[in-house]
Amino acid sequence: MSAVTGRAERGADVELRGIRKRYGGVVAVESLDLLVQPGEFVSLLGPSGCGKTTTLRAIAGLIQPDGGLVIVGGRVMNDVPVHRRGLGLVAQNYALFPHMTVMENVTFGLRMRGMAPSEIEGKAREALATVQLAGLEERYPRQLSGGQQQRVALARCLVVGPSVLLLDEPLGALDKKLREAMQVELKSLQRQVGITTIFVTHDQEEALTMSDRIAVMHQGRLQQFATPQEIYEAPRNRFVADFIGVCNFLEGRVSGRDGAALLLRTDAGDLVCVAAPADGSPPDEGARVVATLRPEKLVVRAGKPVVAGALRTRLEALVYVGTAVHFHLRTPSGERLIAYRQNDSAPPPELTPGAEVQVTWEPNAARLLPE
Amino acid sequence: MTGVLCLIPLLVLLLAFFVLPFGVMLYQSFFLSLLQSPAGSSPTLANYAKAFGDFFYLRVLLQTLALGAAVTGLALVLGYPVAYVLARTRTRWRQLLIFLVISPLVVSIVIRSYGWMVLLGRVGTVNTVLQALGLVEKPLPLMYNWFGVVVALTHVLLPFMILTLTSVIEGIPESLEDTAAVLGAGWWQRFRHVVFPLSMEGVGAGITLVFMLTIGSFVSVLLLGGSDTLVLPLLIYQQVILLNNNFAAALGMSLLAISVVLLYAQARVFRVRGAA
Amino acid sequence: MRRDPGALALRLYCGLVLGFLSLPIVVAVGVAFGSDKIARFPPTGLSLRWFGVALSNATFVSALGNSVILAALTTVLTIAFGLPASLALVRQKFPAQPALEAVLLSPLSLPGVLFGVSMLFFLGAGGFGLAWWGLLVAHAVIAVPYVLRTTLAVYRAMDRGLEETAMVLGANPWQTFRHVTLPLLRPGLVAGGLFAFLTSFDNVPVSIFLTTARTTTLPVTIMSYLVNQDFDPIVGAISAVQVALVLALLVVLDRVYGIAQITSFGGQ
Repeated sequence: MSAVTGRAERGADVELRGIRKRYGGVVAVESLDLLVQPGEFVSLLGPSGCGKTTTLRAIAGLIQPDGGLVIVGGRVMNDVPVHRRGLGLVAQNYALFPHMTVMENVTFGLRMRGMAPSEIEGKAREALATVQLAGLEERYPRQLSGGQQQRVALARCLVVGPSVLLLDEPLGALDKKLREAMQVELKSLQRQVGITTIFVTHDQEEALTMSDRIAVMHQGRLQQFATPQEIYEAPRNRFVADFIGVCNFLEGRVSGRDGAALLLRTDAGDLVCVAAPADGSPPDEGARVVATLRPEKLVVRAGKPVVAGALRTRLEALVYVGTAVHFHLRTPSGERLIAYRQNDSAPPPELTPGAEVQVTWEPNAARLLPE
Repeated sequence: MTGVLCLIPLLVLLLAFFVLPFGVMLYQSFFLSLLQSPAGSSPTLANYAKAFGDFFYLRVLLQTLALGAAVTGLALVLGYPVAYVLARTRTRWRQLLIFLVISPLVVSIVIRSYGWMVLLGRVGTVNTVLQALGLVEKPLPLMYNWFGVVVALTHVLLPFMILTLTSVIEGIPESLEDTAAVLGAGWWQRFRHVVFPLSMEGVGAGITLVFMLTIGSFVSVLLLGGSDTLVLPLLIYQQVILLNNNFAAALGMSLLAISVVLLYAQARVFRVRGAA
Repeated sequence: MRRDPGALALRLYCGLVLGFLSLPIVVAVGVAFGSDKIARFPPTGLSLRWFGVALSNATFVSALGNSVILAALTTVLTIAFGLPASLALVRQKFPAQPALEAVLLSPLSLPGVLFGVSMLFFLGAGGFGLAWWGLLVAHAVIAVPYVLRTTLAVYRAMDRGLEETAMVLGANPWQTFRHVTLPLLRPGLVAGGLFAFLTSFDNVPVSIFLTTARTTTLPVTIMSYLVNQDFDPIVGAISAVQVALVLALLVVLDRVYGIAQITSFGGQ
């Protein structure tokens, strides 16, 4: 059994049932149900104020929820005091004890448990080796760089063998290059140790890169809990679609079918294809719906549509971003769209601001928002 | 929850030995002493009537307030420039300057008063120097009078004024003064239109603090003052010595009332950033 | 600071004021090294005899002993009552907290005579006489705000996440306090304790009402000496020793903990 993982080889599962928390009149978290599998890396993603940090602190026991259950490894934790929960927490500023050396920081948890000094040192050195920080044992936190401090915080956390690892925006204080490097390292460390990890972030790219599943939160409620792919390709509501990446929204009325796909008549009068919902309950004829379209899935051509199923737009602006060109478009009924075109070849010269442009896509690229 | 428990010992201590004694003093101020009324007395406002009605005692009160105003004014005028320099200095000098301003505060007030006595006495340093330079023929009476008291008290209270003002001036971005200078303002204009107005809250806090401490001053007035420099704290001491406890209590409550009003003003009106 | 001629005049002025602040202390200490029979500055000759006279004066020595013991006990009391109170004030939200803190810190500004007189009346009314504990407790009341102020400042500036992290790592509340909170609070406690000690040691307005011939303190003794007799350099000698000790203490503590920052008197 390795020193770093301690008793739990794969980590415990974390279940939240009906968690709610209010501060005065403000709802921080409402009716939160979540089940994280052992060994899984889950991100809590959302804008500030969405309740993700409150949720994390509730799992750690630093906050008492007004209602609901926190269950870790099958054990209800609500009445268990913080220092007996056996979890690991790394805060955004790492919270390294400034008056202790790296070694004293890392051995802190083990010392508080009354472990024998000879054993403690061995485990600590192993932990530091795991995070690639051997040799800095006698330094003080203020003598370390941001990246090194973060690794000490991780080593300190993992050496006591927690069943779950809780991370509160731990990469927020790092600059971009370092942050990306740490994302990769953190993920591989998590794989290696196999510990259940819950990671709070407001950075959707970070969440998409690192997570096995993402829990998107907004105004205290869980919006969608799914794999990064599902979240991106099949957002469940407008907030999720809009928060993750860039998304176009097309509104219109259901106007018949075309084989497996549905036909949508836009407000401007165009008839376009959208994918029928996978769960097999298509909306009624004439119902008002919204379809989501990711910009990279749109195909842009100059001129008025000659085939049916294309959207008429006018090109308002072109933005060159190196790897691609972003087209900013507007439909006759005033809706805005953004389309990305990969820069693998030069764009046609007719595509200039003011030109008429037709937009098409694969039928599966346009999904209906379940409303 | 344990948080509340931790506060209770202090609250009990203060209730028993701060609030209660003041309560006893308040109670006693409403009665006449056995000397004045051997048969005991019922609650009366006679002590207060005497404190504010008798011209002698009223004069003592006014002298106390006037002393407060004089020392406060002096401390403000003398101390403001020092506070400005202290606030704007970023070099290693800063540590030394702060040390020099704080160190008088840790030296006993008796020692400081003693130093002034050696300086201001008839055969003291100042007189000796003045006579040696031929500026005066006879030694000047610099002690056992209001002059000595004001000098000594200004010396004692100056650090408080300086530190309060420094803290506030530090909060005024130097870039504002730079901008004013670029726009053509000379040093007086910068002071008058930029620095001073923005420091008003600190000036108010400093004034209230120094005034409060001055009217409560005891040692300096006793040592450097004479028979006619009577202020309220000294009067209270006198009356206790004379066993006029009840009258002393009334005087004490009056001094307390003035101080509490000032304390309230300082807390509510001048919300200066504290030590954190 | 700007380098114009006005700035030079300003700095000169500062030097003068700072000189003014140090003047009486320098004089009091200087007198101790004089050979004259009366206190004179600058002294006409140099001698160390006044130190000998002071140290062999029984009244002063016993008063010094009393002051030291009293101040030490006061410091212990102020920390014992003030430290838990500071923790409570930062961790909990109390009703009318600003008002509560203003009241707790009020002895810093209220006239000391009031505390002395009221305690005297209190002891009289309770039939306790001039009990020694009355003096101690009165000192504790006026000194505790110093400990409160610095400890509150340090604790409020501290990263509370450190205590939380300690608990998550498995430290129970007592362990957290002992290994994390207390070491980080130490500068505040030391600075506050120092000021509490000095407040008690130097105090006159409270002590003068509550001391007896047996339990007198050093500053009260010096005061009655000054008020009754011609001041001779014996007071200078005592002053010199006291100033040397206190300043040395201040320098050491500033080096170790940075006292100056903790005790900025910004309008309390």
